[in-house]
Amino acid sequence: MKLYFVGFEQANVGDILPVLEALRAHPRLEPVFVPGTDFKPHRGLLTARPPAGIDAQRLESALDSVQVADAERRARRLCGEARRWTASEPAARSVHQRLLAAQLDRYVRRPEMASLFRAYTVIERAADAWARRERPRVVVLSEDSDYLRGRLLARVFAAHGVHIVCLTPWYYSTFRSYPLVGARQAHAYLVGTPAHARRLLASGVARRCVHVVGHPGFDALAAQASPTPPPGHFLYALQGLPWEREIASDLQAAVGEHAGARLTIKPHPQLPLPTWLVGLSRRTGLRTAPARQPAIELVRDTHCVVAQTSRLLFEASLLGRRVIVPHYDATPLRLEVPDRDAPAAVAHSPAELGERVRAVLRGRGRALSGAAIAPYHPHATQRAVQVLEELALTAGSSRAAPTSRTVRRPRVQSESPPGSAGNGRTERPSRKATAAHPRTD
Amino acid sequence: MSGRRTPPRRVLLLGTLPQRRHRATPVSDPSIRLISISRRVAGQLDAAGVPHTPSQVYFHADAWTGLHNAVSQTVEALAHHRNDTPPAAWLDDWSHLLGAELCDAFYWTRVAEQVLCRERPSQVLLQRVRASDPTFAALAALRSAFEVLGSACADWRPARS
Repeated sequence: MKLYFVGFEQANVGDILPVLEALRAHPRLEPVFVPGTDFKPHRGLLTARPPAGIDAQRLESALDSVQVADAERRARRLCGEARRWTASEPAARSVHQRLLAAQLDRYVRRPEMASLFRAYTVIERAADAWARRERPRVVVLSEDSDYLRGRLLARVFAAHGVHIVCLTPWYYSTFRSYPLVGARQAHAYLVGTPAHARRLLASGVARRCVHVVGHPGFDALAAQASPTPPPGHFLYALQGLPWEREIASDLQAAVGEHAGARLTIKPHPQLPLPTWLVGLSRRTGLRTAPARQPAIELVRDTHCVVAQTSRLLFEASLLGRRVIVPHYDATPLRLEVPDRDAPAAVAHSPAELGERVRAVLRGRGRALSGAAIAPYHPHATQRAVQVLEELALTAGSSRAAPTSRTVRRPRVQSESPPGSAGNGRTERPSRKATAAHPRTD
Repeated sequence: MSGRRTPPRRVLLLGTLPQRRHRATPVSDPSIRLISISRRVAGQLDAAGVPHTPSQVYFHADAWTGLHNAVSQTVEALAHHRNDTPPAAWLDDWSHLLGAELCDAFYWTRVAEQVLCRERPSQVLLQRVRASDPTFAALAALRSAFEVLGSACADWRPARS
């Protein structure tokens, strides 16, 4: 039975690669990778590269030139409609609705919108044609919320009666700031952490549909374990986020108070070196690691990793290093830091950062709890494959309802007249079908 | 009890600590209530002995859940407010992306609402910072929030003493 992994973006392929490789040797399941597309302002649209040795298909292979042109016409019409719709929105009833309408209006006028609408309609049309051609019983998505990937694909595949499973990459499990807007659409969720499971349950997903499997992408760390150096060396990982200049300066001041302690800055491998870092290094003698030096090498010589939201915090914790999470914003913490670790790990001010540094140097720092951040480590791959096997082999035997109340979703629209390519039918979303979300404030 | 009402004060929302020589202005002016909008600047003001009110006094959230729910409900209400299609389907498909952009805006709107409700300021001042400042986005969100709430804002920059 083919198990299609559809719509994973490039940044998340590494998280599912162990699962794909394990399934290659599976007696009953055959993995097929169907890449996803993501957009970043600094580089535009990017379609993921299929991993070597894994069968791959492209959604767009199911489209002919007439269908692509049709999708492009729909994109132009949709873009124009969206602009007229947002611009003409009458004074809404609430402050929040006015904010949303203003945000929408700004959004649809961004210069990249034309290409994003095109990508959206082509993927929509391609997913529909691909589902008709391949007739998958089960597809595995990364999530059911993204406009170019999970949510769009879940809507299209659900209209074909496909059983939808989400295998959640680290990012979606770990950021509590990641909003789950609207009704959930998958039949089952494989998530990395108990905290993510709780968020899904709170959003209305049935307990039987949520499976904690850990993070397969972390399993290989077990082979890279090394003794933790004695307290003294701090590593601050840059991510191109606000506050980094201030955090680096505060850290340098805190570490500099202790003889024998030292701080190394790890630049982000894909971002230019910040100009403020050059000045700070010159003034304080701050050491900067080479941009391309692998993070695992740096962590080997480090006792404590400092970062705002980097995956390195989690990897370092699983390798036995201490961590500090500076959070200077007034808004809630974006990262899922286990409750028991937060008091010792999170620093909200320069003074608290200094306290965390002193605690680490006295041997009282803390790693993030392994059971909370990576259950089943280092056997998450095995766990994920086991659950996928159970779900895949039972999926075709029953037409289980999606996790939330069934929603009648609009089918894929076509610009062509009825009788030509595409189904051309449109269904209006049911007004009462969307599951209400419990108020928590 | 004289019955005299305290005249409404101006409020100044501060994201970054002004240099020492510029701090005297808001501190010495009793008509200004200083509100710190980042935890870092709150810590620095405390260390410097400058009276201020953290923004969390007006609105505090430990988690994003309530804000996410507010975004969900708003998107739903807006989608059902209009009868057009396909925008409703498009809005649902794009709802997470919009939600991710809106959560911070909704947070600062709650702060702005409470500042206006509790302080009834005669004027709202927002610190003017460079785009590279880490509080630039928060201050911009506050400006939008106050405008949507019908309260004009003025920029504040420290005056050289």
